[in-house]
Amino acid sequence: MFGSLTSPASSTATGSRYTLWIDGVGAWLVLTSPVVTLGRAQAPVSPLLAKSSLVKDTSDEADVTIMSSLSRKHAQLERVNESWVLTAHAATDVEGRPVDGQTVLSDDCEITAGSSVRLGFCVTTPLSASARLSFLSDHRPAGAVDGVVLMAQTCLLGPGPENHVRCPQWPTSVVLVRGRRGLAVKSRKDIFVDGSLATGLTPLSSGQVISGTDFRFRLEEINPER
Amino acid sequence: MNSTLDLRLTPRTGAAMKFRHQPETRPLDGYTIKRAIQRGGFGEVYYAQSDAGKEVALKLLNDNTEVELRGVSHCLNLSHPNVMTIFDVRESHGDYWIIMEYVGGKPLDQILAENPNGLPHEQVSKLLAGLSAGVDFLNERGIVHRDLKPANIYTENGHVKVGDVGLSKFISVSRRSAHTQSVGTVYYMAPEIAHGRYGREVDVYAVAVILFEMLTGKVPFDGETTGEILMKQLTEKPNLQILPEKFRPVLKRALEKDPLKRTPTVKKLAEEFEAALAGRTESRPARKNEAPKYESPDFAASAASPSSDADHSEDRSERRSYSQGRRVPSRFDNDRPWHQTSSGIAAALVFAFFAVLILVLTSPITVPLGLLSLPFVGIAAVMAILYVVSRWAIRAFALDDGGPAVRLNASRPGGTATRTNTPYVRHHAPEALRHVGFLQRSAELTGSMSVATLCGAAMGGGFFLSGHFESSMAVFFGAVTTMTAWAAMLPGKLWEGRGGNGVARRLMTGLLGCLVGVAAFSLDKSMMLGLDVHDYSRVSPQLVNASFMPGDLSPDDCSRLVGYVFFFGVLLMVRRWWYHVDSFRPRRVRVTSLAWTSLAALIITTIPQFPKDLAMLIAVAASATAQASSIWVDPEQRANSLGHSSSDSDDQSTPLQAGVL
Repeated sequence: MFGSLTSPASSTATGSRYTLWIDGVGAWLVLTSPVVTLGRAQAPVSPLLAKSSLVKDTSDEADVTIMSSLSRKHAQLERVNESWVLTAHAATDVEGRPVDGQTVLSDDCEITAGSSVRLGFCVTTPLSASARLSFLSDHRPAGAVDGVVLMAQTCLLGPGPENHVRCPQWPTSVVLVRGRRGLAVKSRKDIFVDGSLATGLTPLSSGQVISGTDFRFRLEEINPER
Repeated sequence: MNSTLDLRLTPRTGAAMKFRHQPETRPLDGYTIKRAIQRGGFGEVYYAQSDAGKEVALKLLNDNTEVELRGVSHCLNLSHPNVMTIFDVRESHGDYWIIMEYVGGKPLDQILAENPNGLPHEQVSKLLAGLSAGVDFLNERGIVHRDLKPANIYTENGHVKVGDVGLSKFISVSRRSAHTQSVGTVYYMAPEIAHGRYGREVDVYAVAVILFEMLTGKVPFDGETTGEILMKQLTEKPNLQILPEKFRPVLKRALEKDPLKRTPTVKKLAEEFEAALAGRTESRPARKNEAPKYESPDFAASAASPSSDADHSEDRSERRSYSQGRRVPSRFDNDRPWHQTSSGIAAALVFAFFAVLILVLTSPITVPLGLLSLPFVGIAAVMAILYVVSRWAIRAFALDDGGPAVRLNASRPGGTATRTNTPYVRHHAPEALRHVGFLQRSAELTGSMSVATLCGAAMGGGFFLSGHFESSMAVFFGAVTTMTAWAAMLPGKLWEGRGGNGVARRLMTGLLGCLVGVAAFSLDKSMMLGLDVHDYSRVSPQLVNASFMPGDLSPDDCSRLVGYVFFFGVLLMVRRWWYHVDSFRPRRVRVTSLAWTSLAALIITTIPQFPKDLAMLIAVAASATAQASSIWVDPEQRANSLGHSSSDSDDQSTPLQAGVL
């Protein structure tokens, strides 16, 4: 029913997946693709076996993989203009109501995938179309991920409730901005990228450490070859 | 090491984020640091992944390595689902690393920060069960955690893991108090830590504080400075009024200052809490002045729990002190404005009765006192019994007489009660333990004693001018009144703010009363008043001469002396005079207190021969004098007074704090 809303361009657009390792806060998954799939995680693979031929190809894994009994591609979240549309490929409830096909997610709602995986969906500020997925049940991705940011143009990190990633101890907010070639960072206060002062909008690459007077985080791109 | 560093008041959730190791570095072979988790008092903690992909928490020890390594080595092979597992300890480039289980959920302090009014009781119950299981496991293995606090307690999917066991301390008899190093967070620090004692009771206390905080969102003792909090931990009683009523006895006992009176184990605390929680169905809106119920969760809990024989005697003594401890509030409540909290009519009647009695007895019209007094004693006794019965009835049937007092808003199911009206705060009552400086005591005492002298003199003068007394009798009356008031004020002021045994105090004031009796007798004799005081018991004159006076007294004088000593001794013993003169007494002068004192005097005079009118007059005058001239702090100023006295007395409390710092 929402098929007409879905522009073909966005569904083919690819985005990147990043992990933000934030000191004192946690690890957050940041997905820049406008289409995000949700599914079961395959058995976690030990890095010791990374080059083994026994390891299955994971390129068809969902963007957000959860250690659970979900389908491999259980549901899909798609950003359409300023809204997020959920497409259920398997049993999915939103606010307790089964989703038949597609539904537009409200700003603050609970998604139940399968019988027991509960996720919180939240658009933290009307100024950004980015949304946050939080884990309400005890199901988690294979890594120690504390939450997921579905990033439109910006991802806010800071102390207030409007931030996608709440960092209660931080003195100020830091904004990650989606640029043409990856992410960039800016803040009202001085920030350092890999130890050197960054002014204005500073492009970031995977592995860089962003720090300020009272905070530090590292940006790590996941499977860039994918 | 500089342990004062650990006592700084930092925001609950951590300090500035400066860490030695960068993400994606490998300071410890086989592990890659991904991010820093936190900085604790004993070092930095990182989240890392092993080469095989195992998630761990890596703790880098600070310079106080030895202490922590010893603690960790004791816990290295302990395994319990509610205790964070330590995998190994490794040394690398001169640094010591503890490799621990990584717990992904929120620490309890974060949960508390998100719930500023406390957690739902079901959640508290669940968290406490896990917490107590973990701590009890450690305690049972001779390990005291010593640093239990919400920041050290992790939850993962509602499952509790006690962390930072590295600080744990191995109990051995010889080292139980030898190790004076103080660490931890002052909010959760048991008072005996000031004396370097680290028994398992320290953990019970910390768990009790955490339980208090989970229920109310507040710690029982808060303050602006570390010193202030420490002082409150040491001296002030926790304000249990903000707790739902059913939990008050449990936490009162668990937060006892004296470790011997405290709930003995964390397990027992959890059992008592569960028992109190289970009694929820019969809970009703809390009423003021209602004594805690005696269905006693500890009885239920102890019946349910298999405890060792050794524990039984301990339990018995505790139960005794517990029940005593629990009776105190009701006694104070009742000693407090009882005309307000209980039947006002009964109080008015009793007071009117005594007013009439005093007027009649002191009137110049000669009334055959002997005839009057006996019925009066009878009436007074009947009245007293009626009063007690009516009060019991009021309490038993839980009639609300609508008086202003502490009310609890228990409307939110599963929520915490909030105090809406607090004219009388328990920890601002005379029994509030607080620091009163020596100089302050002396100044207040001498000032009050001077005022009492003036009061006594004024009363004597008043009765002289009104024609009731001859001049010598007026002098005698004024002097005896003053001395009696002094005998009440002197120990009262010395005991102010200190805990103490009521019986010992009564004996002490009774002894002072005996001295007042001797002085009164001497005055009587020297002024040749010849008051009709006699002792019916016929104590041997030789014995009296031997024990009191160097000179020989006639048998008649001996009898009079014993009469005086008996009267004043008992008068000062039967009333809690120290309570009446405490600066935190409910009101400056309470007429009910005067009435009771005069009744006491009247009853005493049935044993030795003592003029009943004079006895009651002296009792009332002395009580009024003592109350009117003692320092009284306005209830609204008491919090300031507490704060003021604690900050004011920093210099005097240094030794105490030095023990902690």
